[in-house]
Amino acid sequence: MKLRTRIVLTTLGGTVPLVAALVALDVAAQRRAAQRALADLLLMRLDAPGEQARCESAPGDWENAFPRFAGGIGLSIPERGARAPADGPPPPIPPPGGNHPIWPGVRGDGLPERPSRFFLHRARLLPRSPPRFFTYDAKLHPHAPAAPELDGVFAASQAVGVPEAISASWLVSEIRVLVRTPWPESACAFVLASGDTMPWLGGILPSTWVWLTPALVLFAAVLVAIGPAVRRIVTLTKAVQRSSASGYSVSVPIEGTAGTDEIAALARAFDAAARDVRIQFAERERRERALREFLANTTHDVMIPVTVLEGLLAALNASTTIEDPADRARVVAAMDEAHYMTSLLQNLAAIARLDSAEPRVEFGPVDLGLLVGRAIGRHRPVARQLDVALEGATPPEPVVVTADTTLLEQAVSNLVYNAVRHNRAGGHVAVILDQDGAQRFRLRVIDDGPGIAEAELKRLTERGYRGDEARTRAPSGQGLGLSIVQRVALLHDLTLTLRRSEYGGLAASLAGPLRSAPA
Amino acid sequence: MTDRILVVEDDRALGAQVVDHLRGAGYEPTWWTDGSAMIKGAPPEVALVVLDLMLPGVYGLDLLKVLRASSEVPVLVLSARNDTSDKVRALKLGADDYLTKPFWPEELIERVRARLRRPVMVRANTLRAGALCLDLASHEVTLDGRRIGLTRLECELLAALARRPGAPVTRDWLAEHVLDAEPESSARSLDVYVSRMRKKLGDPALIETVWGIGYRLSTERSG
Repeated sequence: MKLRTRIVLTTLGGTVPLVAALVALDVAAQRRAAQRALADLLLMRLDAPGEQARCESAPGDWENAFPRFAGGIGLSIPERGARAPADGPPPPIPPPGGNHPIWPGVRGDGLPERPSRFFLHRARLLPRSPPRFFTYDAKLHPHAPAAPELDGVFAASQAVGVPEAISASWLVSEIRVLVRTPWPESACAFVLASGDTMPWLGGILPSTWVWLTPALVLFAAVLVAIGPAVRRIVTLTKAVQRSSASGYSVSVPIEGTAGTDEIAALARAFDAAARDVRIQFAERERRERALREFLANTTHDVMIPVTVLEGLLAALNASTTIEDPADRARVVAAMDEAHYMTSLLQNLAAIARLDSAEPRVEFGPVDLGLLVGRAIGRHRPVARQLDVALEGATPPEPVVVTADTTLLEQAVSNLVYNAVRHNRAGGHVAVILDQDGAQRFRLRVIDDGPGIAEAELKRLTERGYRGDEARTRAPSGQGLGLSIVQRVALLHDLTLTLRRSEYGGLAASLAGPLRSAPA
Repeated sequence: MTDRILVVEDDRALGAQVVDHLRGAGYEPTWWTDGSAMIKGAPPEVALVVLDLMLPGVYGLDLLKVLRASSEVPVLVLSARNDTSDKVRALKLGADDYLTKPFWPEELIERVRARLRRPVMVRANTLRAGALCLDLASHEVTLDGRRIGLTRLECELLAALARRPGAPVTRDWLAEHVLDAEPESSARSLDVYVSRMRKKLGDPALIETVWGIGYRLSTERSG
């Protein structure tokens, strides 16, 4: 969830229940006030002289039999002439359409007028629709047909003149108050006053919604206040992402780093972390470069004496003075070992390059024909000593690919050397380069040696098969060589396939695209 | 005619050895331990230069630049650092080939020989390879001046091999480019053609079978 959403929801979650509780409290207070007002009105009427007689003469219509009523709690008396004698017949019902006799703002026919705001405010303690009074006998049987049914539960315990509020639900605005009259023997033993609480607000809270304004203002203030904070966090996130994407070479620039709030502190912490990472990176880079330099220099220093050694061995082998076949075999074995050692050195150098944080690969146009020629030339002297025929065929036209010439040559060299090394006297190795159509080349190295077991073959070509693993699994060095071939193939987008050749040995094949545009 | 070869190599032991082996292979080597003579300007009259990249004083690549400014002589670069950028730069500056140390003397000789190989003479539809002479227009073939009666197809097959003497040619290539047929169906007929040609040439070793590849024209005459 976004920060802004969360804050908004939290604010709403706090405000809404508070408002609801206030409104509920207000409604309760309003109901109580309305009930009290209704009860007071009823009790006042009951206290009026002659009411018992008026009631008994027309119990079903007592509510319309108005007493002579002077003064009162803010009640207007519509017509002085409508005053009835204390024991006389009830005064006539006021004509419909006029003002209600005792209820301001209500028409005589009982329908509420549209009240003005002013009126609502002033008369907030009074029900808006006129109260109605229904009489009941001692057994709570109503006299008026419109009177609601009551059951006897309340009446039994009720004391005279003590109003009892009967209201079912807070959801309806109607309230009822039941009173036992002081005339228990008459037809008017009980009177039920019915009214409503409209307006239903105004007990505690102001009756208009104006009191909600502070809440809304607070809410808006929260939204306005979090805006800049959220924007700064978004900016900071972007800055950190930029820094991370650049390998932490770019610092985390934050406007407002000078600030004292938590976001500025966070920004400074990010910047410090990025600086640390930068320092670590630089240090690692420096160490790696030093190591590479060291390796390159060492390789260089070793390769010259090894070249001399190979020259000496070749000269020794060429000399005609060695007569003992065992001595001859020793010279050949020494040549073989020297050759193996140098191939191992070259492979380790290749691994070092491939394993460095970012392989230093330099792609360029490479003439595969020449490359294959060099790889064959490299191993032919030893192959000859081992009595393995090593031949290669390249097409007459140049086959140019895009590659790192050193790595690709090492890969091809490894394939050729594997085929020579894992062969037997009298065996053959053929290296065939051809174009597969106009766009692709295929380089095959096939031999008739003992080959590699199918299971091992599968494992050797597994993706991610690393040099170390290869060294321990195939101590002869075959694994190391092939793992380099595999990684170089991956790097160059070449397809490497290893399978049993039709001659029994291994058939290795590298295939890939030709360099499209001659550079 | 012996070819003169200039060797620029600072390592005494290695330089001596390279010179020895080149001489043993029938070349006439001159050995410089640094390139200062070349900087002074005197383009050597040699058929090929073997140039070490790591020289004291002057960088091998700078030397190559100086040399290329005045000469088209083939240059074989020796590099002890198996480094791609060195090779790429050397090739860009005009080196013809390179050899990474360590190398067998035989390897060096092979690279030198590959550079100095006499181009096959192709003049007015005539192709010469050793004692073999092919007239590509009339399909007349002579070996040591002796006329060999070959069919047109046999002549073209022989020409395909003779264009690059000593280099094996795959059966697939021969089938596709000479027999003009699908490789699978023509494999047997290729063998038949070759055995017939060997008989006609009277020297079975002239066309060698190369394991796993196909055939090649031998550069060494058995007699």
